[in-house]
Amino acid sequence: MSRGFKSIEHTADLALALWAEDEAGIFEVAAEAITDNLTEGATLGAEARQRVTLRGLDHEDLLVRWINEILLLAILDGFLTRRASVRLLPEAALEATLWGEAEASARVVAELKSATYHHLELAPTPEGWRAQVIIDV
Amino acid sequence: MKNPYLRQESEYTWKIDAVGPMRVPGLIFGSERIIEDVRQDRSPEQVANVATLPGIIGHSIAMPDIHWGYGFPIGGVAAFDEAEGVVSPGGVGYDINCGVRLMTSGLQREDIVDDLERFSTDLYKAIPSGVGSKSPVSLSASDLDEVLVEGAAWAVRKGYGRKADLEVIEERGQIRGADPDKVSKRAKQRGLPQLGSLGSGNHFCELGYVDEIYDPVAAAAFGLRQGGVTVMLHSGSRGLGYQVCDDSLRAMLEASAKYGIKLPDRQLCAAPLGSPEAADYFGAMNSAVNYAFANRQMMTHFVREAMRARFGQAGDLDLVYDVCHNIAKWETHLVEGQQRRVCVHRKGATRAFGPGHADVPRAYREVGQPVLIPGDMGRYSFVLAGTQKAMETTFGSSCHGAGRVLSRSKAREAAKGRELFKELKAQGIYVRSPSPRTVAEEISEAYKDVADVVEVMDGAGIARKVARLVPLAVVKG
Repeated sequence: MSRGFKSIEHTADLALALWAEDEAGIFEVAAEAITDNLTEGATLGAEARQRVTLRGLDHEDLLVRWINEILLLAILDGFLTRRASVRLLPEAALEATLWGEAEASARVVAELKSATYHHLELAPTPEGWRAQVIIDV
Repeated sequence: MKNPYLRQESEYTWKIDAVGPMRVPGLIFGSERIIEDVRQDRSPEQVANVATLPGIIGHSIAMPDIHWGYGFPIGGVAAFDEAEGVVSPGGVGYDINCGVRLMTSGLQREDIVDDLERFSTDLYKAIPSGVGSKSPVSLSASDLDEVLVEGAAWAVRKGYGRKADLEVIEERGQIRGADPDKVSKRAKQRGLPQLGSLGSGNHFCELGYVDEIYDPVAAAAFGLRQGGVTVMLHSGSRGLGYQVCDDSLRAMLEASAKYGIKLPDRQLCAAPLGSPEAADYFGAMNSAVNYAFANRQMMTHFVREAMRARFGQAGDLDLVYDVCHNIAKWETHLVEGQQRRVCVHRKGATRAFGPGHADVPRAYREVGQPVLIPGDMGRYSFVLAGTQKAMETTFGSSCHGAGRVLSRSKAREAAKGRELFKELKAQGIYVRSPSPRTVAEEISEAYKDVADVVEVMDGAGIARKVARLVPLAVVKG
């Protein structure tokens, strides 16, 4: 299965559909989707690196926390994630390495407030994994 | 609950009967045309979901600007019993105390019409706007803690406004119960550089004029006169509020499990009103409410400076009123013949207290609280007055705006190839924004006609029309 993301219709906010070959891939694609929306698809460097560890209540909650972590790195630190390598751990935890561009606040052109739990989906499919997440904008 | 059935109850009200886990019926205000749009999205499902929360009183209510949000619908109102009820961050939203304030000047439209283009640039320079916009004022950590407790009063104390301003702000610009210690380090980090900035999206500062008066007595009480120049500001608690909401959702998800609250949507996670989790949320949320009051107060000061610099003393601005759109707060309402203290959630809804209420400023007490309803940047906005019927029917609440009908991506598609700034200029409206994308997303067609929304409120007797305002210059974030 290929991996990717697209926006789906939502009246007020941003709804994202994500797909990947496995669950960790969904998290990696989510990071790319967030950066794409923050920067309107800008091409970014990948020289800077960050490490993230997170724990959620369950895997759906972990996905929301992960997306919000990517957002906060952009908003507070000016770090824009170009790609991520995610390893899912037991008990709804993950560790990840992010490559991206540091001090890149100026490249953010759209405001995303937060990922929400509304109509949040994360599930295996016969071909791989898919997710849906609504972002408050 | 998917696709709940909407049953018309009167010309302007539609009911969702309480079925399954719903504890109370749903009540949606709308005209036939508005309800046709409402049926297209999933907001009625959200009205039904809210009706399942413990301790909800009366109805799960939605205003005619209802549209699909997350958790509560946007335009949602729900009140909860003090003993049995809950507080839910999903009933407040991320932009805590996003709100609107209206100011009047001594100028008439004809006094400024030749200066509009220059003044729109003045306004743009005066108010930090756009994604991640930053304050021109640097705050220390202890300053920020003071802001979170004192709200608009802090700004006035520091010279950003007048004591008289505080008289005409909901909660006098300083809600009680704020506890800065409940605001996370990250939320404070986000809020520290942003106080006194507009932000982006649908936030705006708009210079306009009064083009029609429907209720001369109330208009006179509010200081609105035919042709008089006004300024409207729409902004909220910026990144600090978003982070407070985000932080609290995590705690509330755990609280929902701990207290056995069944959730039809995790975004509705909640805690019993008497619980420590609720107390923590109120401490943090009220801090964000105060931040937003201070934020709008500081921008008021910046606009006043710009107005006086361009137009002299006649450009000075008096604050008419400032209302919250996204909040959960304690109020006393008549429930089943008894005055009861209830927690009213308004998410994309405006308080609309009627005449005689002690919380309405003395100057407006005979006519009712000003209710400020912004439309879109190409048409008009309305000023309404709260009514006794609102007190009896909607926990003293009204609509808050036009309500989106197009998604942001559809709005951008509709704007493609058009010269929006020129189109609006041809209508006599000067728009300034750091983001052409935002302007495209905020085109008039993206919103319902706010006149239709207001007509429902007026027709249903929830808030009565006082005046209509037309934009002349708009700064979009």
